[in-house]
Amino acid sequence: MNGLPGLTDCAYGGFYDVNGEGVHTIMAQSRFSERIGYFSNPIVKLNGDKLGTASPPEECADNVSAINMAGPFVAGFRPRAFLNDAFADRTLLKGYGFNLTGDLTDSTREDNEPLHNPNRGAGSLWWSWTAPSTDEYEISFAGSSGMLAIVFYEGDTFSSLKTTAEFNNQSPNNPTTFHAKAGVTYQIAAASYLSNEAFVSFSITRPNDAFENPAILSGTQLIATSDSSHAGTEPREPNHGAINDFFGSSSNSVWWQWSAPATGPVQISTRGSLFGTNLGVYKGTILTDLELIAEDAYERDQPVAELTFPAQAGETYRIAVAGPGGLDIPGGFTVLSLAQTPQPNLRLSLERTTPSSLIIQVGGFTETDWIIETTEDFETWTESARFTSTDLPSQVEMTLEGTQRFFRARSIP
Amino acid sequence: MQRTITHRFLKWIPIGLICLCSSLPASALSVIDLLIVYSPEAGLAGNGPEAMQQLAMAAVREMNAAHERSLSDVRFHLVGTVPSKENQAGTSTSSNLRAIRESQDGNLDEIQGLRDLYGADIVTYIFDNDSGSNVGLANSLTTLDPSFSEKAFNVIVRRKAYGDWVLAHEIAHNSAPNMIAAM
Repeated sequence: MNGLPGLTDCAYGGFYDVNGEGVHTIMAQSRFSERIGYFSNPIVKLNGDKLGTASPPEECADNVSAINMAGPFVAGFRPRAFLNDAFADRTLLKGYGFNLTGDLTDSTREDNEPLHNPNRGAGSLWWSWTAPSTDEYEISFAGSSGMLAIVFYEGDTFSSLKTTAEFNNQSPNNPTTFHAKAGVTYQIAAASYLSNEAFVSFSITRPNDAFENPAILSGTQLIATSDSSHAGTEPREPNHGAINDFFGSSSNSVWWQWSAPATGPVQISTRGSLFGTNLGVYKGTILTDLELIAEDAYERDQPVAELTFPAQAGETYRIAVAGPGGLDIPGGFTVLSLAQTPQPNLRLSLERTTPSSLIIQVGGFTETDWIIETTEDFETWTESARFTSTDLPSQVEMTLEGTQRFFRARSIP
Repeated sequence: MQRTITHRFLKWIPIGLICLCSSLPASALSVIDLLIVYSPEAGLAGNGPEAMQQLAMAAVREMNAAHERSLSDVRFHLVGTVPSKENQAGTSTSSNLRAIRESQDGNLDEIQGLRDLYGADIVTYIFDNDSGSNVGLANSLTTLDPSFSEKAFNVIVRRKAYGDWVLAHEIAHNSAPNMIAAM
């Protein structure tokens, strides 16, 4: 630990790693060194060597000793609020995956609350998650402590709850995936088996490293996240916009699949990602035979990749976000936002079913309120009908009055 | 029904009783409640509340994983990811840490109230800064003095909130004694 850059008196480092560059624990200063994800602890070994020393002062040289000693003290700084102990106060979760945490100590069980099998009546914590897509999500108890059950329900009240899936951290046959349906809100309960002495760390994520296994996107306004820290690239994968020698390749790509629900321009951005990004949009189902639709490459002064392309209703697109090859940060926390502005495909039929009736068809997108207006001079427009589009195309039959000659349809926000 | 329960550990532990804490069974975890507050600037750069919530959860997961593999008896519970209404106090770690630590200086005073509302033992403030080598700063717990409770704050820049254990580093300054102040 002597002489390594970035070490304070309370950080540990050593020269014994395979590259000869030294190991720096978390308390080393990151601007001087690349750290490993450990606090120092002589009980823990890395490559056969102890990650720390017991030499005095112990609480300084061995960070885990210091952390363990102070943990109960710091945990008592503020009284616990128990914000999601009650079903009615469940924490709302959004997005394409989450990692929830909770301490079941002193949590309570409510009257009429279901027994979260095989819970014996101990306390519980509650969350609520609306699945953004119909997809297969991976679940994990990594980081949990104690005997835990996680139960997914559908329903809004105790009396209407129906169990959708059950997970626990004890059974070797515990399922590792959860099939979610887009738009369905799942009530999630965490409970301990026998007592309340348990810490919950539960994640439901959607890895999307491989082209053949993209995360599914739904809707016209959405945000998706992923972690590409350990993602790779595949043979003959496109470079997603990397265009010059210095940034001439892509790395750590993750994939999404989106089927356009409407026709209209789509804006995609990687704003929020923690590294410079390359972005590509494609059509096709074979990685080596993709049709490029649009791409935007990482540039040093413009790390956010953004693009716009005209999407066609019903068409399926593959979207890749990758890091710039050869740089220090090839991947990491990734954000993809997508916003489509559906464009109506307006059809006006002058087919009159009677001398005074007209059928107007509106296509392009559904669940939209429309106003039909008429004019004779293109200056004064008069509302003639209102309707809500349900199918594609939707139509309204209206009665003509006076000398109406010209028509327009306006969507109501 | 929402209720408040005093934590199983004493709110204040006199320095002379430190040995009682360290004699806890190895299986007993100390769960520290963490609130993450982010500036409007960070929220904008981070692409909004949903992405910021995901970022916060990822950062806490990364931190808890580091504690677990280091055989630490401490875990962190993310009690909330909340945007601040006030703009961040400049782009330096020191100016933002100073602003959230002082409760009546006119800068980021809301954070003290948010901390009490969420029952957070420690507050991390994420702000935006596109450049610079100082990516985090924390008040250091030098002794187990109860008065440090009012200083349990740290700040980190959004672009380093995940991927390099910056959150774990800064919070260790808040929660482990005799750490030398470092960035």
